[in-house]
Amino acid sequence: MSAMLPPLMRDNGMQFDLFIQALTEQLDKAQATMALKARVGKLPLTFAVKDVQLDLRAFVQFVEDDLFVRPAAPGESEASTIKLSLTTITKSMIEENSVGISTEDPKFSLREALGDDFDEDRRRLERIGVHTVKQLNELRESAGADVIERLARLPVNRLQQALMRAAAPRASQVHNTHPSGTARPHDDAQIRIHSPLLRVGGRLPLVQVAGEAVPVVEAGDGQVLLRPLASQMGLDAKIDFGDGRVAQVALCDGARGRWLNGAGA
Amino acid sequence: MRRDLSTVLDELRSGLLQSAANAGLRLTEVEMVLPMDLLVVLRDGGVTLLADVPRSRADDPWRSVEASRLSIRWRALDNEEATR
Repeated sequence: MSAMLPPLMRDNGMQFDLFIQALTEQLDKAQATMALKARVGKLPLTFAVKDVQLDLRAFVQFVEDDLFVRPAAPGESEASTIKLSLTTITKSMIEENSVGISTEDPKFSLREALGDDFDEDRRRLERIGVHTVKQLNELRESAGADVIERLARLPVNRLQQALMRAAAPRASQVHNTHPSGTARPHDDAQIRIHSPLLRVGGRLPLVQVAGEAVPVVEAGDGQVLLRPLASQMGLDAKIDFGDGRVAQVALCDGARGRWLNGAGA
Repeated sequence: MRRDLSTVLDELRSGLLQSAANAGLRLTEVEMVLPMDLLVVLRDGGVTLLADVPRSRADDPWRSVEASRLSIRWRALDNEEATR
């Protein structure tokens, strides 16, 4: 095995599920490359992988509860054989069995919500099919944080941090105009607060700046539209979600909030 | 030299199509069984599967029954069918 591997991988190989992920990622990549070449070359035909069967010669062992496989090097004998068969699925089958990521609001994508500090954690979550903040919250509510940690191989504290980071409110200024076509005057500016914790039918959050309420224009799933007074613009607003969770975010475009009481997750 | 499995597959596909074109043929379906050297490595925060096929007689151990084998079937699809 390569010297670029840590000792555990050199000696015991790789968890079997990670090996399967690596295999399917490579097949997907090969398929995507073929489709791209056909499109770029304006070819009438594309050449697609129909079926794949891999007879993997490997050394197999359990390390604690995980099944590890180490592919046999050329000439290594007495390895086991694992037969893997994969076939292609149609576009409609993919759509039936996957979440429409493109329809999700990009503001609630994991990449946007978690930022660069959580790049590795985001990749681990995406490998188990979690691509959005909404999916992360739904999975946490239905399966529990411990299941996510185990499946995604995330340390406990990192998942908690990721959940808090993902749910923190963010502000964006609404740049719409009056019907006359003129820009909205400063004293009529609106700020939209985004957070997956905001739900239609739930209690409206109490938003205050220095103890003064900020007028709410409308509320929907994942967002609330505010019309702050000119004197409130740019200042820190306290958002009380009414269930013990309190966050703070500046009323200016692009501001990212933080939890005041550590209860965001 | 082991490379991404997807790169190996793409090269095999390109080689097939080029060979067929040189012979004035259009391939509709191809099946191949290849001895394959496989290695998993950690890269870019994830796991990548590297692979290669034997290239010369010096690679004879790969041809043995002890080597991993990849059976792959390719089929030509028109673009409309490919996106269905």
